[in-house]
Amino acid sequence: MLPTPSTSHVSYDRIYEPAEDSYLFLDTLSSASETAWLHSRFSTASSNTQNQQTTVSTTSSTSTLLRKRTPSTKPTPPPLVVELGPGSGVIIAFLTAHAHTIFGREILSLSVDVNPHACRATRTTVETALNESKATRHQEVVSDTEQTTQREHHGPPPTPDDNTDHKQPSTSIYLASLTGDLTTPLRQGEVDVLIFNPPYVPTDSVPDIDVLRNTFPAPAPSPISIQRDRDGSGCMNGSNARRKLELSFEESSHLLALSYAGGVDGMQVTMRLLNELPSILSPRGVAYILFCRGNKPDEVKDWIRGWNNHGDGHDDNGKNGDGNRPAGSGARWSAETVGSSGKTAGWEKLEIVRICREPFADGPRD
Amino acid sequence: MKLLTTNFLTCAVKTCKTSPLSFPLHFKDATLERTEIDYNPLFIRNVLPRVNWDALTTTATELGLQSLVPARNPGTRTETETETDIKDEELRKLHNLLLETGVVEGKLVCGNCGFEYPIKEGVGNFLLPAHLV
Repeated sequence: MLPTPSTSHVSYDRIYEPAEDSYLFLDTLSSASETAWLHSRFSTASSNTQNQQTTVSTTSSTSTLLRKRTPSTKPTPPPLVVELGPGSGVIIAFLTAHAHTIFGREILSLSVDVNPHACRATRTTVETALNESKATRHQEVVSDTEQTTQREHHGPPPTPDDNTDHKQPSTSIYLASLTGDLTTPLRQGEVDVLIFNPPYVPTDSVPDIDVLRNTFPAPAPSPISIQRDRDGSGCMNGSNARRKLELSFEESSHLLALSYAGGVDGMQVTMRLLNELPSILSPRGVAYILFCRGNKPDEVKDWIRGWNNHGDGHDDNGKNGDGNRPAGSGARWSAETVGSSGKTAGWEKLEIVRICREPFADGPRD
Repeated sequence: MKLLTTNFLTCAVKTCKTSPLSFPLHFKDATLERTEIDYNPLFIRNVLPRVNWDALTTTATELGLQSLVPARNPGTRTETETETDIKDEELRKLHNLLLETGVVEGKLVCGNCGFEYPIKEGVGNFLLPAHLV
């Protein structure tokens, strides 16, 4: 099991504390099935042959993907992994420090958060995790070298491929923490892996971020109210945040509210991001987004599967789009639940949905 | 904020996104820092194909670091050239520039609308004032 990054330096009076939803991301993205999928999706091209032999037992879609890819000797660039709203930074730190295990290669990563405190906290969390990972790796290399000196002398030279030698120092790079509103600072078509643990709790409204545009400290509007779980939406993530609302001053209330208050159906912020996905993701790009039961994830998944892949976007018929796809376009959108928790309690059923283009699929399969 | 970040950034103003002038953003009053990063030639070589070379040349020149950028992207050699044609010296310079060089203070300016995004303590702030959203 991969170690969870330390967030002991984070002030939870203004930054969302890692909770069940955060840990669901760690568990899901490091699961055997998901790492196998990510390894295939982001393999360096030069390791294709090897992957073709070793992924026979994985899903049929993976096999299709590999069979149809044209063999090439050019290595694919390392994936750009972006987390929106990282808060403490525990997820992006986990992904960056353990990129070899999760993606099978080194990555470039960055994060965007509206909360400037979260931006600084995330940077510290990632840097700490990278240093610890490096120290652990160094120990492994030392002990490994002592035990297998002979093999190294007779072994083949290292393969010129950044994903085969797991003992080399980790050189995944955390590029930056940015303060911003979702993907607005990012160029289109560059993001390969997008992680979003959104504000998903159904609330009266989404807090205004205008206050953050000016220099802190600034007067914050009154905290918004959180609906109780009367409708059985199962989205009472608010228990944790609610306690802090009562204990904290207005500014931190506002910052924390931004981290969980999702407006109508808890979907106002998520919908803004979903509408940007077709333009922000690279062709090989994939998004992992968390939903609670009140977000009606099954409806959302059906809607996404109805997007076509024509130019800049998808049909705008709203939910339950008709799924029309332009003739000749083999690509379609896939939306699958790849991790879930709290199935029995009815208190907080969470799921992580993986959304991506399946450019190598054989066509519509409805 | 590492220099390579600028390869993935553009102006946050929606109407600027379609303008070629909004990329790359231009550094102003930049204070640089150097952080030592383990040199991994395979990694930096694989990064290069996704770097926009014209933009990098512009950015490096603005920071007075143009000597670190070869005229041509070594990551996009033609088929007749082999991988060994990529000079280690070039890769080390690019490692230095893209991964070890960061901007701690300064501004990033959009070439289209002129908006200045402040960078403080290495964190770029891309939140727009309400009238530009």
